[in-house]
Amino acid sequence: MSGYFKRKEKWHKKYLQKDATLPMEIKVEEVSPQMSVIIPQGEIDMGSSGELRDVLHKTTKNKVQTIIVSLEDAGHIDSSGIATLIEALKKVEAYSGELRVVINTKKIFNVFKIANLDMVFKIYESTQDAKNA
Amino acid sequence: MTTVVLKNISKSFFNSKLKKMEIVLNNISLTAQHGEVTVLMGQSGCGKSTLFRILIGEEIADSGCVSILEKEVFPLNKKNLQEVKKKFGILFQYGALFNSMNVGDNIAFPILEHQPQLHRDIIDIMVDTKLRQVSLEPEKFKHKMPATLSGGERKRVGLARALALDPQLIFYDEPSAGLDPIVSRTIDKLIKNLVKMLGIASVVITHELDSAFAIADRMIILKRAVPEHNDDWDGTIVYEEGTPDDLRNSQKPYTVEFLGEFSNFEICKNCRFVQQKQFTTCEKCGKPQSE
Ligand SMILES: Nc1ncnc2c1ncn2[C@@H]1O[C@H](COP(=O)(O)OP(=O)(O)OP(=O)(O)O)[C@@H](O)[C@H]1O
Ligand SMILES: [Mg+2]
Repeated sequence: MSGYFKRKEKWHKKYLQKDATLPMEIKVEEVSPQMSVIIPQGEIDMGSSGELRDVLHKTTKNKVQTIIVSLEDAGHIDSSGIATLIEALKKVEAYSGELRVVINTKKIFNVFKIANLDMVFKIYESTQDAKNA
Repeated sequence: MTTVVLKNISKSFFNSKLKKMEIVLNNISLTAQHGEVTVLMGQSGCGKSTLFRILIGEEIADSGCVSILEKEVFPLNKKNLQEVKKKFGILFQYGALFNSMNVGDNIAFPILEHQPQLHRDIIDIMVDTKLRQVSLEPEKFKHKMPATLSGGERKRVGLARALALDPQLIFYDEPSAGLDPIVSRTIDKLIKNLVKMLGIASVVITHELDSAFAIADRMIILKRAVPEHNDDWDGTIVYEEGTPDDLRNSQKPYTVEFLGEFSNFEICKNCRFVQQKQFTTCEKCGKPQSE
């Protein structure tokens, strides 16, 4: 990245971080030490995807074998949300774990499909299916 | 929902050769709907790019008004324009990349401008995803400088940048001009899919008739009119608008002339094979054509 962006980032860290958008609620269900279900409540967009990232970061750091991200209560996910899932997928694959994604609306599925990611993620229609898989 | 409304737009330029003002756009009104591809066509010099620049707030009209995503942006409302600019993407005729930045930074630029709170690693992945979306391999292209790209690659990078902030509306000036047929088809498909799958609205200016018919839900033909008893142009008018089928079946002389052979032929929605009008299944790929 160029110097311009580095300066910009520094500046941002110093002045802007305070007025970040309201925190998004994220439910986490620890089914077992080997399985966690993460359920973001509300839209995952450029303002809120950072929180999902924090939760995923914690879970992957603990090397939870199976991580299920349920988008059933998300309503919408944008490309920063998708990028957050891709990052988590890479981390999970690095320790041979599994990331499963639950999608129950066409709207969200299309966001994955148009980015050609419907084949990259393991996608399930319900959390129950994802748990049983 | 109407995403773009243009009302009674007029614009004149000073013609330094004739030493007088020359009307380019005369009282133009048009609209574009959410979830649709609206294609603007017209002969060279009829004012398409001028209209495009007025739409995106880079040119000031002499009169009329423009609203985008239900916000009035002209007569100039800087606050609204600023707000709306985050929500629309623009693909310029020649890509308009920053030559001093590599491809990755070009695409990251709008994200860093408007969403600087995102983590650098996330932005990196977003850039990769957008590149893949326009069929460019990130590892191969991310670090290249714009000057080393082909015209088609530059345009695709421009499109990836237009998509960076997940816009609700995209303006395209000549998205497939000068591209080889395969790349041009990829871009057409992407434009259409963005609209169909994500509900993004698109306004496309194009010269390429096959591309226009492949993507349009609605078409607008602009024409420069000549008054009968005067040698002067009196500006561009909206000559005809309607669905692709309306225009293909039009009897209006200019439309028939402008569309030329396209008035008698139809393109397969699937494989773009050109054949005689009103076929029900494509001769080439066998796909039924009714909606
Ligand atoms: N800044 C300007 N100053 C003077 N005249 C201008 C200016 N911009 C455009 N024009 C004139 O306005 C007319 C329309 O130009 P415009 O670029 O909008 O046409 P166009 O329809 O986009 O053409 P093309 O299909 O060739 O791209 C032309 O006659 C052009 O010379
Ligand atoms: Mg032009």
